[in-house]
Amino acid sequence: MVSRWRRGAVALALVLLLALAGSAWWSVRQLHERHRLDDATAGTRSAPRVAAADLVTLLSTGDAAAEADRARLVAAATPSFAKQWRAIATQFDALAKGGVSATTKVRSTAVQALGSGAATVLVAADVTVRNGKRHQTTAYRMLVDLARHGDGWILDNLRLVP
Amino acid sequence: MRPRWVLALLLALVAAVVVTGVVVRAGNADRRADTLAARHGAVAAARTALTRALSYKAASVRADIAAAKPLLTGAFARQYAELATRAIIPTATRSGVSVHTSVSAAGVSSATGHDRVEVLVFANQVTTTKAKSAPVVQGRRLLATMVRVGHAWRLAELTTV
Repeated sequence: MVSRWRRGAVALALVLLLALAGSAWWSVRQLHERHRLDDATAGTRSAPRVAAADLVTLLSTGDAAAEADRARLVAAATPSFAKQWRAIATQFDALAKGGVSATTKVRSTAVQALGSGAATVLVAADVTVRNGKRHQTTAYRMLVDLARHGDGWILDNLRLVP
Repeated sequence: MRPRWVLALLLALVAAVVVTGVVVRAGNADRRADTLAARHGAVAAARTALTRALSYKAASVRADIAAAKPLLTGAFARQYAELATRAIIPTATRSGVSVHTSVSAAGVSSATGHDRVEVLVFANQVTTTKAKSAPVVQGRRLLATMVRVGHAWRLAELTTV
Protein backbone atom coordinates (compact mmCIF):
# COMPACT_ATOMS: atom_id res chain seq x y z
CA MET A 1 0.00 0.00 0.00
CA VAL A 2 2.84 2.31 0.95
CA SER A 3 4.76 1.66 -2.29
CA ARG A 4 1.60 2.20 -4.32
CA TRP A 5 1.15 5.56 -2.66
CA ARG A 6 4.81 6.33 -3.25
CA ARG A 7 4.56 5.45 -6.93
CA GLY A 8 1.43 7.52 -7.18
CA ALA A 9 3.07 10.45 -5.47
CA VAL A 10 6.12 10.25 -7.76
CA ALA A 11 3.91 10.08 -10.85
CA LEU A 12 1.86 13.01 -9.66
CA ALA A 13 5.02 14.97 -8.87
CA LEU A 14 6.33 14.28 -12.37
CA VAL A 15 3.07 15.40 -13.95
CA LEU A 16 3.15 18.48 -11.76
CA LEU A 17 6.74 19.25 -12.72
CA LEU A 18 5.97 18.81 -16.40
CA ALA A 19 2.93 21.08 -16.10
CA LEU A 20 4.92 23.73 -14.28
CA ALA A 21 7.83 23.49 -16.72
CA GLY A 22 5.40 23.82 -19.62
CA SER A 23 3.72 26.79 -17.98
CA ALA A 24 7.07 28.45 -17.35
CA TRP A 25 8.15 27.95 -20.96
CA TRP A 26 4.82 29.28 -22.22
CA SER A 27 4.98 32.23 -19.82
CA VAL A 28 8.43 33.27 -21.01
CA ARG A 29 7.31 32.96 -24.60
CA GLN A 30 4.23 35.06 -23.94
CA LEU A 31 6.15 37.64 -21.92
CA HIS A 32 7.98 38.91 -24.94
CA GLU A 33 4.79 39.03 -26.98
CA ARG A 34 2.95 40.76 -24.14
CA HIS A 35 5.60 43.48 -23.90
CA ARG A 36 5.35 44.01 -27.63
CA LEU A 37 1.56 44.29 -27.40
CA ASP A 38 1.80 46.61 -24.39
CA ASP A 39 4.05 48.91 -26.39
CA ALA A 40 1.79 48.74 -29.42
CA THR A 41 -1.39 49.36 -27.42
CA ALA A 42 0.13 52.27 -25.52
CA GLY A 43 1.68 53.64 -28.69
CA THR A 44 -1.62 53.72 -30.54
CA ARG A 45 -2.90 56.07 -27.83
CA SER A 46 0.15 58.18 -27.08
CA ALA A 47 1.64 58.75 -30.54
CA PRO A 48 -1.40 60.54 -32.08
CA ARG A 49 -1.79 62.65 -28.95
CA VAL A 50 1.84 63.74 -29.04
CA ALA A 51 1.78 64.38 -32.79
CA ALA A 52 -1.33 66.55 -32.49
CA ALA A 53 0.04 68.56 -29.57
CA ASP A 54 3.42 69.03 -31.26
CA LEU A 55 1.83 70.24 -34.47
CA VAL A 56 -0.32 72.77 -32.65
CA THR A 57 2.80 74.06 -30.90
CA LEU A 58 4.84 74.05 -34.06
CA LEU A 59 2.35 75.73 -36.37
CA SER A 60 0.93 78.34 -34.01
CA THR A 61 2.51 81.77 -33.79
CA GLY A 62 1.65 85.14 -32.44
CA ASP A 63 3.13 85.66 -29.02
CA ALA A 64 6.35 85.15 -27.08
CA ALA A 65 4.99 82.15 -25.21
CA ALA A 66 4.22 80.36 -28.47
CA GLU A 67 7.70 81.12 -29.76
CA ALA A 68 9.28 79.77 -26.57
CA ASP A 69 7.17 76.61 -26.71
CA ARG A 70 8.19 76.01 -30.31
CA ALA A 71 11.85 76.58 -29.52
CA ARG A 72 11.65 74.02 -26.70
CA LEU A 73 9.91 71.52 -28.95
CA VAL A 74 12.49 71.85 -31.72
CA ALA A 75 15.34 71.63 -29.22
CA ALA A 76 13.95 68.32 -27.95
CA ALA A 77 13.40 66.92 -31.45
CA THR A 78 15.77 64.66 -33.37
CA PRO A 79 18.74 66.37 -35.08
CA SER A 80 17.25 65.65 -38.49
CA PHE A 81 14.01 67.39 -37.56
CA ALA A 82 15.88 70.34 -36.07
CA LYS A 83 17.72 70.68 -39.36
CA GLN A 84 14.46 70.39 -41.30
CA TRP A 85 12.85 73.03 -39.12
CA ARG A 86 15.77 75.48 -39.42
CA ALA A 87 15.22 75.50 -43.18
CA ILE A 88 11.69 76.89 -42.78
CA ALA A 89 11.96 78.71 -39.44
CA THR A 90 12.96 81.98 -41.07
CA GLN A 91 9.61 82.10 -42.85
CA PHE A 92 7.80 81.69 -39.53
CA ASP A 93 9.95 84.36 -37.92
CA ALA A 94 9.23 86.75 -40.76
CA LEU A 95 5.49 86.16 -40.41
CA ALA A 96 5.62 86.74 -36.67
CA LYS A 97 7.59 89.97 -37.05
CA GLY A 98 5.10 91.15 -39.66
CA GLY A 99 2.26 90.87 -37.17
CA VAL A 100 0.86 87.73 -38.74
CA SER A 101 -0.43 85.13 -36.32
CA ALA A 102 -1.39 81.52 -36.91
CA THR A 103 -3.51 79.10 -34.94
CA THR A 104 -3.74 75.39 -35.61
CA LYS A 105 -6.68 73.12 -34.94
CA VAL A 106 -6.26 69.38 -35.29
CA ARG A 107 -9.36 67.76 -36.82
CA SER A 108 -8.32 64.14 -36.71
CA THR A 109 -5.32 61.88 -36.19
CA ALA A 110 -4.53 58.30 -37.02
CA VAL A 111 -1.67 55.87 -36.63
CA GLN A 112 -0.25 54.73 -39.94
CA ALA A 113 2.70 52.76 -38.62
CA LEU A 114 3.94 51.90 -35.17
CA GLY A 115 7.16 50.18 -34.18
CA SER A 116 9.09 49.87 -30.96
CA GLY A 117 11.17 52.96 -31.71
CA ALA A 118 9.16 54.94 -34.24
CA ALA A 119 5.64 55.91 -35.21
CA THR A 120 4.06 57.59 -38.20
CA VAL A 121 0.88 59.56 -37.55
CA LEU A 122 -1.56 61.09 -39.99
CA VAL A 123 -2.78 64.49 -38.89
CA ALA A 124 -5.63 66.44 -40.47
CA ALA A 125 -5.18 70.01 -39.29
CA ASP A 126 -6.63 73.41 -40.14
CA VAL A 127 -4.25 76.34 -39.90
CA THR A 128 -5.82 79.80 -39.68
CA VAL A 129 -3.54 82.70 -40.52
CA ARG A 130 -4.60 86.15 -39.32
CA ASN A 131 -3.20 89.41 -40.59
CA GLY A 132 -5.09 92.31 -39.08
CA LYS A 133 -8.77 91.80 -39.86
CA ARG A 134 -8.09 89.32 -42.62
CA HIS A 135 -7.86 85.63 -41.97
CA GLN A 136 -7.60 82.51 -44.05
CA THR A 137 -7.94 78.89 -43.06
CA THR A 138 -6.11 76.16 -44.95
CA ALA A 139 -6.77 72.45 -44.56
CA TYR A 140 -3.58 70.44 -44.31
CA ARG A 141 -2.86 66.75 -44.57
CA MET A 142 0.32 65.82 -42.79
CA LEU A 143 2.39 62.81 -41.88
CA VAL A 144 4.33 63.18 -38.65
CA ASP A 145 7.19 60.80 -37.92
CA LEU A 146 7.94 60.39 -34.22
CA ALA A 147 10.94 58.74 -32.61
CA ARG A 148 10.83 57.01 -29.25
CA HIS A 149 12.74 58.95 -26.60
CA GLY A 150 12.64 57.31 -23.19
CA ASP A 151 8.98 56.83 -22.35
CA GLY A 152 7.85 59.55 -24.74
CA TRP A 153 7.97 60.59 -28.37
CA ILE A 154 9.89 63.35 -30.10
CA LEU A 155 9.48 64.85 -33.56
CA ASP A 156 11.56 63.25 -36.28
CA ASN A 157 10.01 64.36 -39.54
CA LEU A 158 7.07 66.33 -40.90
CA ARG A 159 5.68 65.87 -44.38
CA LEU A 160 2.78 67.37 -46.25
CA VAL A 161 0.78 64.71 -48.03
CA PRO A 162 0.38 65.65 -51.69
CA MET B 1 -2.25 7.85 4.23
CA ARG B 2 -4.49 10.84 4.64
CA PRO B 3 -1.71 13.47 4.70
CA ARG B 4 -0.23 12.14 1.41
CA TRP B 5 -3.64 12.11 -0.22
CA VAL B 6 -4.25 15.65 0.92
CA LEU B 7 -0.78 16.71 -0.19
CA ALA B 8 -1.30 15.18 -3.64
CA LEU B 9 -4.64 16.95 -3.98
CA LEU B 10 -3.11 20.25 -2.96
CA LEU B 11 -0.26 19.84 -5.42
CA ALA B 12 -2.71 19.03 -8.20
CA LEU B 13 -4.76 22.10 -7.30
CA VAL B 14 -1.67 24.31 -7.37
CA ALA B 15 -0.68 22.94 -10.75
CA ALA B 16 -4.19 23.49 -12.07
CA VAL B 17 -4.26 27.08 -10.82
CA VAL B 18 -0.83 27.85 -12.31
CA VAL B 19 -1.66 26.33 -15.69
CA THR B 20 -5.08 28.02 -15.80
CA GLY B 21 -3.46 31.35 -14.99
CA VAL B 22 -0.96 30.97 -17.78
CA VAL B 23 -3.64 29.96 -20.27
CA VAL B 24 -5.90 32.90 -19.31
CA ARG B 25 -3.06 35.41 -19.63
CA ALA B 26 -2.07 33.92 -22.96
CA GLY B 27 -5.70 34.26 -24.06
CA ASN B 28 -5.68 37.95 -23.16
CA ALA B 29 -2.51 38.48 -25.20
CA ASP B 30 -4.10 36.64 -28.13
CA ARG B 31 -7.17 38.90 -27.99
CA ARG B 32 -5.01 42.02 -28.03
CA ALA B 33 -2.99 40.62 -30.91
CA ASP B 34 -6.27 39.97 -32.73
CA THR B 35 -7.35 43.57 -32.10
CA LEU B 36 -4.12 44.97 -33.54
CA ALA B 37 -4.31 42.62 -36.52
CA ALA B 38 -7.94 43.62 -37.06
CA ARG B 39 -6.90 47.24 -37.32
CA HIS B 40 -4.52 46.46 -40.16
CA GLY B 41 -7.27 44.52 -41.92
CA ALA B 42 -9.67 47.42 -41.54
CA VAL B 43 -7.20 49.91 -43.03
CA ALA B 44 -6.58 47.69 -46.04
CA ALA B 45 -10.32 47.24 -46.53
CA ALA B 46 -10.93 50.99 -46.20
CA ARG B 47 -8.37 51.71 -48.91
CA THR B 48 -10.06 49.27 -51.27
CA ALA B 49 -13.63 50.31 -50.44
CA LEU B 50 -12.95 54.04 -50.81
CA THR B 51 -11.03 53.64 -54.03
CA ARG B 52 -13.81 51.53 -55.53
CA ALA B 53 -16.79 53.45 -54.15
CA LEU B 54 -15.44 56.85 -55.14
CA SER B 55 -14.19 55.93 -58.60
CA TYR B 56 -16.16 55.46 -61.79
CA LYS B 57 -15.90 56.02 -65.49
CA ALA B 58 -18.64 57.66 -67.50
CA ALA B 59 -18.77 54.74 -69.91
CA SER B 60 -19.11 52.11 -67.22
CA VAL B 61 -20.61 54.01 -64.28
CA ARG B 62 -23.45 51.52 -63.66
CA ALA B 63 -21.10 48.56 -63.52
CA ASP B 64 -18.56 50.49 -61.41
CA ILE B 65 -21.22 51.47 -58.87
CA ALA B 66 -22.59 47.93 -58.78
CA ALA B 67 -19.10 46.55 -58.16
CA ALA B 68 -18.61 48.89 -55.23
CA LYS B 69 -21.90 48.11 -53.46
CA PRO B 70 -20.78 44.80 -51.91
CA LEU B 71 -18.00 46.67 -50.11
CA LEU B 72 -20.51 48.83 -48.22
CA THR B 73 -22.98 48.04 -45.47
CA GLY B 74 -25.88 49.39 -43.44
CA ALA B 75 -27.46 52.79 -43.92
CA PHE B 76 -24.43 54.01 -45.82
CA ALA B 77 -24.92 51.32 -48.46
CA ARG B 78 -28.53 52.47 -48.94
CA GLN B 79 -27.52 56.15 -49.09
CA TYR B 80 -24.82 55.33 -51.63
CA ALA B 81 -27.28 53.42 -53.81
CA GLU B 82 -29.80 56.28 -53.65
CA LEU B 83 -27.15 58.87 -54.45
CA ALA B 84 -25.89 56.79 -57.34
CA THR B 85 -29.38 56.43 -58.82
CA ARG B 86 -30.38 60.04 -58.22
CA ALA B 87 -27.17 61.91 -59.05
CA ILE B 88 -24.00 60.00 -59.87
CA ILE B 89 -25.20 57.83 -62.75
CA PRO B 90 -27.33 60.53 -64.49
CA THR B 91 -24.58 63.14 -64.18
CA ALA B 92 -21.84 60.79 -65.29
CA THR B 93 -23.70 59.63 -68.38
CA ARG B 94 -25.06 63.08 -69.29
CA SER B 95 -21.88 65.11 -68.71
CA GLY B 96 -19.26 62.42 -69.26
CA VAL B 97 -17.98 62.65 -65.71
CA SER B 98 -15.31 60.21 -64.62
CA VAL B 99 -13.70 60.17 -61.19
CA HIS B 100 -10.55 58.39 -60.17
CA THR B 101 -9.81 58.18 -56.45
CA SER B 102 -6.50 57.09 -55.01
CA VAL B 103 -5.40 56.84 -51.39
CA SER B 104 -2.25 58.72 -50.41
CA ALA B 105 -2.17 57.65 -46.78
CA ALA B 106 -4.39 55.88 -44.29
CA GLY B 107 -4.25 54.88 -40.65
CA VAL B 108 -6.30 53.84 -37.65
CA SER B 109 -7.98 56.77 -35.93
CA SER B 110 -9.83 54.73 -33.31
CA ALA B 111 -11.08 51.23 -32.72
CA THR B 112 -13.92 49.75 -30.74
CA GLY B 113 -13.27 46.11 -29.93
CA HIS B 114 -12.57 43.85 -32.87
CA ASP B 115 -15.50 44.89 -35.02
CA ARG B 116 -15.43 48.64 -35.54
CA VAL B 117 -12.50 50.76 -36.69
CA GLU B 118 -12.38 54.38 -37.79
CA VAL B 119 -9.82 54.95 -40.51
CA LEU B 120 -8.49 58.38 -41.44
CA VAL B 121 -7.82 58.47 -45.16
CA PHE B 122 -6.03 61.08 -47.22
CA ALA B 123 -7.38 60.57 -50.72
CA ASN B 124 -6.92 62.33 -54.04
CA GLN B 125 -9.72 62.60 -56.54
CA VAL B 126 -9.19 63.37 -60.20
CA THR B 127 -12.38 64.37 -61.99
CA THR B 128 -12.65 64.67 -65.73
CA THR B 129 -15.66 65.89 -67.69
CA LYS B 130 -16.53 66.41 -71.32
CA ALA B 131 -16.89 70.15 -70.71
CA LYS B 132 -13.43 70.72 -69.25
CA SER B 133 -10.24 69.77 -70.97
CA ALA B 134 -8.14 69.79 -67.81
CA PRO B 135 -8.93 67.38 -64.96
CA VAL B 136 -9.80 68.76 -61.53
CA VAL B 137 -7.69 67.36 -58.69
CA GLN B 138 -8.93 67.50 -55.12
CA GLY B 139 -7.31 66.34 -51.92
CA ARG B 140 -9.73 64.82 -49.43
CA ARG B 141 -9.56 64.12 -45.71
CA LEU B 142 -12.01 61.34 -45.01
CA LEU B 143 -12.96 59.41 -41.93
CA ALA B 144 -14.17 55.94 -42.89
CA THR B 145 -15.98 53.80 -40.34
CA MET B 146 -15.28 50.15 -41.06
CA VAL B 147 -17.34 47.41 -39.43
CA ARG B 148 -16.74 43.72 -39.54
CA VAL B 149 -19.47 41.77 -41.28
CA GLY B 150 -18.73 38.08 -40.95
CA HIS B 151 -15.07 37.74 -41.84
CA ALA B 152 -14.91 40.87 -44.01
CA TRP B 153 -14.66 44.59 -43.32
CA ARG B 154 -17.31 46.83 -44.86
CA LEU B 155 -17.55 50.61 -45.18
CA ALA B 156 -20.39 51.71 -42.88
CA GLU B 157 -19.93 55.48 -42.74
CA LEU B 158 -17.95 58.14 -44.52
CA THR B 159 -17.45 61.71 -43.38
CA THR B 160 -15.21 64.56 -44.38
CA VAL B 161 -12.94 66.01 -41.69
